Amino acid sequence: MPSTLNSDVVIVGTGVVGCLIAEQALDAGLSVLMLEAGPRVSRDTIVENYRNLPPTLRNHWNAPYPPKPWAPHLETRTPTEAASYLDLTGPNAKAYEQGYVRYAGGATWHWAGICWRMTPDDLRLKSLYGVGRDWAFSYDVLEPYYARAEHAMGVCGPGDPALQWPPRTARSRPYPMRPIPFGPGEQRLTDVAATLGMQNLPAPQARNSGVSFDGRPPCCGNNNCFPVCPIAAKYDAATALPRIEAKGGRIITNAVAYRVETNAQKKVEAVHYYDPNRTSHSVSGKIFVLACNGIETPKLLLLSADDKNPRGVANSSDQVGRNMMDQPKLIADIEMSEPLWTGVGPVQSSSIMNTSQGDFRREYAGAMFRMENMARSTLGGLAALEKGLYGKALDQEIRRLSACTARLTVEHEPLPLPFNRLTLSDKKDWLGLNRPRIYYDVGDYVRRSAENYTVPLLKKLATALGATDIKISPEFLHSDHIMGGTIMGNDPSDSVVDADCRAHDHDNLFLPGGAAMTTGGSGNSTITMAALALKAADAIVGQLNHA
Amino acid sequence: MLRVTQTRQAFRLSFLAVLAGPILLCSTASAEDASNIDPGAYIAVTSDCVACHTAPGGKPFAGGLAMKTPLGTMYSTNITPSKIYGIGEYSEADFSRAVRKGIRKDGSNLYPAMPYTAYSYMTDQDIHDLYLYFMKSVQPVERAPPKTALPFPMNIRSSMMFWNILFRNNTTYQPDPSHSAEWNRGAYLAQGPAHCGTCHTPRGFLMQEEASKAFGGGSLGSWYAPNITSDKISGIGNWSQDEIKTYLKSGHIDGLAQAAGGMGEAVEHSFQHLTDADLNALATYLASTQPVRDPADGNLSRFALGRPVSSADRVRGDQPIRSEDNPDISGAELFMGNCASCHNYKAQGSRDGYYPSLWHNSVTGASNPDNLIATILFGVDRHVAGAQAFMPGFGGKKTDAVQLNDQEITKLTKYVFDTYGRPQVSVSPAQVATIRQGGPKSPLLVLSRIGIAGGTIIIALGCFWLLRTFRK
Amino acid sequence: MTSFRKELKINRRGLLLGMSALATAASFTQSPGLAASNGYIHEPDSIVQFMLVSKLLVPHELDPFVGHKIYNALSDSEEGFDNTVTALQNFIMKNAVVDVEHLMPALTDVALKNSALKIISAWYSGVVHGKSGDRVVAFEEALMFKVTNDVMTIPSYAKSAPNAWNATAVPLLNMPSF
Repeated sequence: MPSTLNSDVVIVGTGVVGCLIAEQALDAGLSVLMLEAGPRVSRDTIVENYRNLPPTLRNHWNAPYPPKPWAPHLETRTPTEAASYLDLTGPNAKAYEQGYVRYAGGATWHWAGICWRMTPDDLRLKSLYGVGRDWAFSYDVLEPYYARAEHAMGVCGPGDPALQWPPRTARSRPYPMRPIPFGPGEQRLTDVAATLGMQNLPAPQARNSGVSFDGRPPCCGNNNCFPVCPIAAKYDAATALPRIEAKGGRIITNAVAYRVETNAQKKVEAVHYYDPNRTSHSVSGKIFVLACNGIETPKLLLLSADDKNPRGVANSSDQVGRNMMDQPKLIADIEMSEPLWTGVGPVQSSSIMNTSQGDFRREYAGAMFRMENMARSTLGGLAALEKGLYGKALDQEIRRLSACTARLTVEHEPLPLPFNRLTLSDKKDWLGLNRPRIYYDVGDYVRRSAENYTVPLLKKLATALGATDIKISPEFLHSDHIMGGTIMGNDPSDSVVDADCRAHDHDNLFLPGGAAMTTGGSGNSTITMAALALKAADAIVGQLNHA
Repeated sequence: MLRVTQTRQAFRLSFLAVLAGPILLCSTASAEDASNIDPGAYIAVTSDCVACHTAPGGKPFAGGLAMKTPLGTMYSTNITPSKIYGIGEYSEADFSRAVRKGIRKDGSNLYPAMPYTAYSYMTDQDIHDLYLYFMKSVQPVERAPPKTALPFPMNIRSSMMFWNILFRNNTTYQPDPSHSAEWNRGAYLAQGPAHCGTCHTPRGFLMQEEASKAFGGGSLGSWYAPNITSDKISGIGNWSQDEIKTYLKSGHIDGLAQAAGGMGEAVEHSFQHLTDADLNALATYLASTQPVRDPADGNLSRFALGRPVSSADRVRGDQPIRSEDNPDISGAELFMGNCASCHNYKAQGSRDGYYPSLWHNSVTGASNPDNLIATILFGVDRHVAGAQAFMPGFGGKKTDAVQLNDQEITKLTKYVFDTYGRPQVSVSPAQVATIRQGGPKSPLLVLSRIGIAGGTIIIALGCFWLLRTFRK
Repeated sequence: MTSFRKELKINRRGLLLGMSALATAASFTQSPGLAASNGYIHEPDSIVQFMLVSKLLVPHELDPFVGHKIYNALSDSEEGFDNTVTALQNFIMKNAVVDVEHLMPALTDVALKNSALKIISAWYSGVVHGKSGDRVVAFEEALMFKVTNDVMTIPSYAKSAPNAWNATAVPLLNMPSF
C-alpha cells in the first residue's frame, strides 16, 4: 500500500555523506528520514561472503555485495555483467567503471579509508594555472570542516607537520589518532622514493590506530580494508546507522527514489520511491538532501524532469550530469629481484603527494603515486599454480611471487570537462528506470601528463625498487572517486549548487558530496565529500532554525 | 559495570592528568616510589575510590557517575574537598564515620553502594592518610552531582540502620599472629580497602556476605565475579602466585583469564598501580583461602577446558553469496563472521596473545554463562600500562556498530561453549535479555511497595543488591 | 585431532616397504582420533585413499575436512575420479615413489598428471573448478596462505595486536613449516 511519510530532513542515500548530515541534523533536534535503495546487510554476512568467494573474485570489490534487482550496481565478473548497469561510452569508458555499492552504508563499505585533503592550490586551478575552474571558496573556508570530518570519522595521521598534507598549511586541530605503522613494503617504497625526490607520506586514514574510537576497535592488520573491514576498525557509514537510529532517525531500506517533485515556488515538496514490489510511496519534508554519490544523484535529478523542470530538477544551468570526474589511473605490476613484502598493515597506508603540485599544472595534470599494500599471497599462489609447479618448488615460487612483486599506481587529477557527461540511457533497469549513460574521455591534460610526466616517473620508481619486469596497464582505469556531476560554483548559470551544496534552483534541496566538487585534485575524494557534507549540514540546520 | 557502557576516553585523560602530578601512580612511575610520595594517594588507589566517584568525562572524585538500577538511578557523590558540594567540612572523625560506618556528616545513612562494610576493616592510619590526601591533594570541584532520588520506599535512608546493626563489621582488621606479616598484609588488603569480597563473595538471604563461602563467586548485574578461592577445580588453586600477581597487574594471562567488566576496571584503576610487595601479599593471601567447590563444576576446572577446532571447516564450501542476512544463521557462522577475525578461526587468538584464545579461558570454561554473554554484549575496554585492551560490544549499546539480537547471542554463546569451552552450559534468549538489561530485575520495589515482607528488611535487601551490582 | 594428524603423517618408510594401501587405510579408519574429530565413524576407503595420495602430492599437514570437500568437488567434476586416485596410488606403490618431486616427472600419463596437479591446486588455492563453476572448498586452510604466513596474515584475520607490526623484512628463504 502506498504510504506518505514526513520529516524535517529527508535524506536519500545512507553513505558517508547522508549519515554525517543525518547525525548533525538529529543532534540539532530535527527529525530525519533516510531512504536507501539497497538492502541493509550485517557485517558478518559480508565478511563471510568475502571468504566464500573463489580466490579470483576476492579482488572484485563488489563481489561480496551482490545487488538486489531493484538497486543494481556495477559488477565486473564478466564483460556482459560489467555492461549490465552502467552504460559507458567514449574513448575512456573503462576509466569510469565505478564500483560503488547500493547497500545501506554505501561505498564506504569498501573504501580504502584514505583521507588526503585537497590543497589550497587544488581549489584555484583557474587563477593559478589557467585550467579547470576555481572553487567557490578558498581552503581557509574548507579547513575547519576537514578537521570536523576527521574527528567525526576517526582519522589517524602524523603529528609531525613535515609529514602532513597539504604542506606548510595550518591545521585547526590535530588528527584524533597517531599514524598506523608501516610494514616492510611501505618503508622500502618510502626510502627508495626519497632518492627520487618523491615523498611517500603516511596516509591520513579513517582507521582506528592503536586505540578504539567511537566504540569501534583499533586496526589489527587484517589487511582487508577492501572489500570489507571485518572488524569495523575502518570507518564506514554502516557503523553510523545504529547510532542514527538510537538518536531517533528513521532508515527505510530497499526504497529506490525515482522522482524529486517541486512545486510552483520552486521548492522541493516530495521524493517518490519504489519499494521492491514496485509500489510507489512518497516522502515530504522541509529540506531534501540527495546524497546518492556522483552517479545516482545526477541520474535522479534528470529522471525527475517534468513540465516545471524540463531539463531535470536543479538543472536550469544544464550542468547536471556534466563535468564527470575521477582520477584516471594507470597501474604498473612489477616483479623485483629482492623481496619487498607488501601486505603488512592496511591495504593502503601511504602515498606520494608532492608529485601532485607544481607550475607544470599549466600544461598537464598532477598525480598521486602509491603502492598497493595488499597481501599478495593469493596472487602469488594462483600464479605459481598456473606454472604447474609442485612440492618445494611450488612453495618457493609462491613465496617469491608474494614477496617480490608489487603494484604501483598513479592517479591523475582530472579537469571538469562539460563533455564528460552523464545522461539517461534508453536502456532500463529492473524497475523500468533509465540506467545512467556516461561518456568519458580523460582529456589531453591527463594524457599529456601520462606521456611526459607520470609514466616516465613510474618507470623510474619501479626501476629504483629493483624491478626486473614492469607491466603498465594499456589504458586508463577508474579510481572509484566519482566527482563533478552537480558542480559547485557561485554563478547559477554555469553551476548546479552554491558553496553550501544547495541547489541554485531550489533553496530546500541540497546535493552534497563528490558531485559538488569543482575540481578533483589527485587524492581520494571522500574526506572532501565529508567536509562538504558537514558544511551543508550547518547550512541545513541554520536554514531550518531560521525558518 | 554500567560504566563499561559509557565513553571513558575523556575521563581517562583527565584522570591521568590530575593524578599523575601529585601521586605519580601512572604506569611509567615505579609504584614503590609512588607509595613513598603520598601514602594517602596510594590508599585511594587501593580502595579504587575514583572508579565510582568520577563521571565519564568529569573531574576526578567530583561524583556524578550514574548507576542505572532496576530501582532507580543512583549518582555517586562529590568527595573533593569542596566545602559546599564535597567533603570540605568533614573532620577526620566525620570522614572515618562515612568511610567505615556508612554514616554521613549530617547523620543520614549512605546506601551500601558505598562498600563501607569492607572499608570498616581499614586501619586508623590508613583512614588518616586517606583523609589528608582528600583534603590536601585533591582539587576541590565546586559542582554538585545530580541527586540520587530513589522511589519510595528506597528513599528512606534510615532503614539502613537495621541492616547495619545486623551485618556491619565494627572493628578494624585484626592481624592473625599465626600467619606471616605478608599474609596479614594480603588479608587486610583483600578484606579491607581492595574489598574483593564485595563482588566475589556470594550473598545470603539478607544479602549479607556469606562468610562460609568467602570469595566463592557471586553474580553482580550483567557480570559474574567468579570463584577466587584456593579450590583447585572451582577456584584459582592451580594458579601460581606469579600468575595471580601478573593477572592483577595486567588483567591478562594467556591461556587462563582476561579481566573485563568490574574486574577490568579494578585492574585499570587500582591493582596495576599497587606495589609488587602488596601484589605478592595479595597473592599469598589468596592462595591460602578456604577452598569453596561449586558442584556445577564437576571435576573440571574452568581454566583447562576446550581445544582448537576449526570453525572454518563447519561453514566453508557451497555457501551462497548473500544479499541479505541468513535468518537461520548458525552459531558457527556467527562465530566466523563476528569473532574469528580477531580470535581466529580455531579460536586460538593472535600469535602475540593480544587476542586471547577462547579455549583454556576462564569465561568459556565457566559453568555460568553470564560473563561470556556480557563480554559479547558489552565488550572489553581495559587500559593497563598505557595500552588499551579492547573488544567492541555487539549490541549491548544501541549505538554499537554491530548489533546482535538475543537469539543470535544465544546461538553464538552456546556454540562457543560447546566448541571451545565447557559443553552443555545452558543459555536462553531470556538470559541474554536479562544480561542486556543489566542483570535480573529486582522484585524488591514491587514487593516492598505492597508490603508483602517486612519493609526495612526489604529495603536493606534492595540496597545491598545495589551494592553488589555497582561496587566494581 | 592431534592423534589423527599423527596418523596422517604417513611415514615414507612404510610406503617404501610396500605397506599395502588397504592395511594403511584400515589402521587409518580405526583411529579413534578420526572418529572423534570429525564424527565419521566409517571413513569410506575412497577418501582414505584420496588423503593418502594427497599426502604425497602435498607434503604438508592436511586438514581432513578440507580433504573431504576437495574429494567431493573433484568427484563431481571429474569422471571416474576414484579410478584416477586409485591409479595414482598404484603408481606410487608400484614405483615406490617417495615424494612429489620424484612422482611428477615419472608420471608420463598426461591425464593422470593433470589430475595430480588439480589435487595440488585445490589444496593450495581452496577452489575446485567444476562443471558448474568454481567450488570453494577452503579459505582459511588454503595452503597458499601458509607459505607467507610468517609475514602476511590470511586476509580478514588479525595480524597481531593493534599497530604491533613493523617494517622488518623477513628473508625469502625462511620458509615456514606447515
